[in-house]
Amino acid sequence: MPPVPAARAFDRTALPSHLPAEVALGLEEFCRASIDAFGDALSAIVLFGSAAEGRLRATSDVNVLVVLRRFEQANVDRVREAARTALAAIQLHAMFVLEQELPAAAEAFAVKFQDILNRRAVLVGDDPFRGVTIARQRIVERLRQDLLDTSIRLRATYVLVSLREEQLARVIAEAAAPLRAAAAAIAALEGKPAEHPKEALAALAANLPGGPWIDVLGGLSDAREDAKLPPGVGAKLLMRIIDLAVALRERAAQVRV
Amino acid sequence: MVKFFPFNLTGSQFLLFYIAFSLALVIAARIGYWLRERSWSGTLPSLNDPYAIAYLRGGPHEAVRVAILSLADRGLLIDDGQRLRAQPDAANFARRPIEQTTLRHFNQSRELDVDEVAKDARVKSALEGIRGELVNQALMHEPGNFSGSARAPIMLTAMILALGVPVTRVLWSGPPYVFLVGLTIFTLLFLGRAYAKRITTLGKQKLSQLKVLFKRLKNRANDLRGGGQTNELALLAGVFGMSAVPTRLQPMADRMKPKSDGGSSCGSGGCGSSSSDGGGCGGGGGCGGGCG
Repeated sequence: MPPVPAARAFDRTALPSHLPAEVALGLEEFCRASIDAFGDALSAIVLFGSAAEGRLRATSDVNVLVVLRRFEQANVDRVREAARTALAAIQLHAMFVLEQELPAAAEAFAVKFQDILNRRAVLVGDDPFRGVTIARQRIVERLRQDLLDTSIRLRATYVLVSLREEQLARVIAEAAAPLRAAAAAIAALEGKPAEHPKEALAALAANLPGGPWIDVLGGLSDAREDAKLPPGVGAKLLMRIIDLAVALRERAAQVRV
Repeated sequence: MVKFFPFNLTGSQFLLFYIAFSLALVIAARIGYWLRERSWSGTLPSLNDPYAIAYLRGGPHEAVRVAILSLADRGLLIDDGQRLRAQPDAANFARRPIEQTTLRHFNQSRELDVDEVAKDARVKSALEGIRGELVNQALMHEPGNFSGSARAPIMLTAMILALGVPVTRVLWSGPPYVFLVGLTIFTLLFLGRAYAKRITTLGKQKLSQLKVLFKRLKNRANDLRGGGQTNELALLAGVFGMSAVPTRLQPMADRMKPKSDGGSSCGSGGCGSSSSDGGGCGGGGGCGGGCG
């Protein structure tokens, strides 16, 4: 049985220095509450995505992975208020994963976990991803699946939401993350890894059929930045984003397994 | 060499001296409170309960307003535009005492009257519980508890001086009486009012911190979905007041405004809360010490 670490205090210096004040505060409160609630059942808390790399936007979610040794109701109940407060305050979304589930989760959600491997900051505990690699085949398979899923979901969204144009900016902003993550995965699989997913999508889109995509990428950034789009723009932009997802999937289909 | 001795001063001179002395006393008492309370350092206590946040910021009535708004948003209170009524068995779904007691108050259809809800003995008891927790966390004062109050010795010393100086002057060299009695009462009231401030320095810091923490929530207030799946609305109203709630809920928020206040309730927009504990709005942000 592995040794159980002693009770920890949260170390503020673990927070990336570029975080906005409210996000740093929200993360700190959540981490403190998790340490108190889970005690020695808490293995690590990992911040990932745009918050970890200092590219958080007004509409960005804050994503953390909470790695646990045990998921026991008595402990979990004590963190519920803090988790709901963090969701309200900074849109913090926490994934609760057991230590022993990590390898399987990394395989099952290969693109997401590859993104975590690339963009992460360990806030509490030891890095659970040290030395972890994900099989290329799993990333390729999952990439194709994710892009297909994104295309199908966005079509349904277009049908249901595009008559409410004011709601489209948020939908479009939310579409940016999976497309960028997919582009980063494709770029890495093609041996041309980009520093950030946003750059990966821009570089890949320059050579994708169906372009030019420059307006689509600009629209994605605008929606993420302000959660607003000018009237008459959203519906056309969402249709083009669906085209972009299809073009990315076709590109992913050509990636060597 | 002329030595300054206040008890030999003539009537108007002594009154001027006493005005300056009173001002110095009030300022000294406030500095004394501040010095006592600023010794705290470290992490501020966590505060996740929107009703406790509302109580801290605006008093018991504000906590009631947030509870009503949140319960209506969750569909546990039905609003027909005039009267409110709790859904059958709604209190069984609510977890916090203030939610349960507010729902029980509206078991019968009633007009939306925050004062009436706050006067309900069951709601009052729930509010007392919230206040007790805030006092335990050192976010609020308990002015009545002299033995447990860090402020009491300072207030008592200042009051003895405020009373002792004019009494000594009168015993020493006679009148003026009338103005002096008035001034003394005024000074004592001022000292008592400063002592009775509801929120501690720690409480003010916590409110300021909460306004930073929930900045993003305020920015996306109009995007919040109804239904109460999250506690976003309650936290938004708790931290920033009724003026910050989404446009769709403004009509209800307007109906809960303090009766004496034509403007906003105690929120980011102003300090209008009519809390019955004599405190008014709390410190921090838009509702600073001026409303204490």
